[in-house]
Amino acid sequence: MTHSTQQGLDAFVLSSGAPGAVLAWSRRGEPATTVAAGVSSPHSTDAMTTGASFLIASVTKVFTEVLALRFVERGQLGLDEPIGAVLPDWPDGERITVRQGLAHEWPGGPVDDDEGSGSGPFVAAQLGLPLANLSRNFTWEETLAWVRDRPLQCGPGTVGVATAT
Amino acid sequence: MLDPLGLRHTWYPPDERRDVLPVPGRFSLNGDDDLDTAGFPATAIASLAGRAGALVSNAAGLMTFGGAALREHRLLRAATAQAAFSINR
Repeated sequence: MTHSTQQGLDAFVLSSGAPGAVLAWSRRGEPATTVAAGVSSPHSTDAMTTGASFLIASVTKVFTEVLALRFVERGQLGLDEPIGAVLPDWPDGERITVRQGLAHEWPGGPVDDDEGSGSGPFVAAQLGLPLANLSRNFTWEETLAWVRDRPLQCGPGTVGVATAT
Repeated sequence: MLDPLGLRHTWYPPDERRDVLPVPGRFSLNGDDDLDTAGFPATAIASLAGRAGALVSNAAGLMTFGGAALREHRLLRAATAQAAFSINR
């Protein structure tokens, strides 16, 4: 199975134009099979390795959700609690719930387009700040400031959207 | 949450510094994948996404985390993990 997985990933890298990729899979808790293909950088001939680290982008949200649910289990956070309870003075904080935030039903931040590519006009209007600061680390407070005064795209809880924040 | 799982390669660049950086690639900021991150520290720009997009990890780390959270119930009770799939209901 490792051989066919390797062949599949090799083909994916060739067809996708990605410099390289890593794929891991497991069946019902059995030890994972991990394969790598391609190179480790668009500017390198070094082979991609199975241990390579990546920016995992929006997969981060899964970690954040699990962490939030651990607080819920401990009674330190309520799913149907207004986010204003944890983010004081947040616009509309009294009518947006933690649950809606975790369910992507809090459409207040930069919103991806229907394909999730981040190319929607709402995102395009927000590119100035990151593009002018490619090398600077933003603080969490700056992230909150970036999104806090955006108008809601629709009523909280009425639609699910992918957002950058 | 990460340390008990032994996730040494899963880290949060806005708050941590490591000698080994994630592999560079193309950063999709506006949908066209045109930002080649070999030319700037992608961990910095990702910091703007914060808790929604700034983590670094590897395949083994993601497999461990996913198994711990969703199958082994090491991070969440079984009922909570199941409810996470329908949290909007």
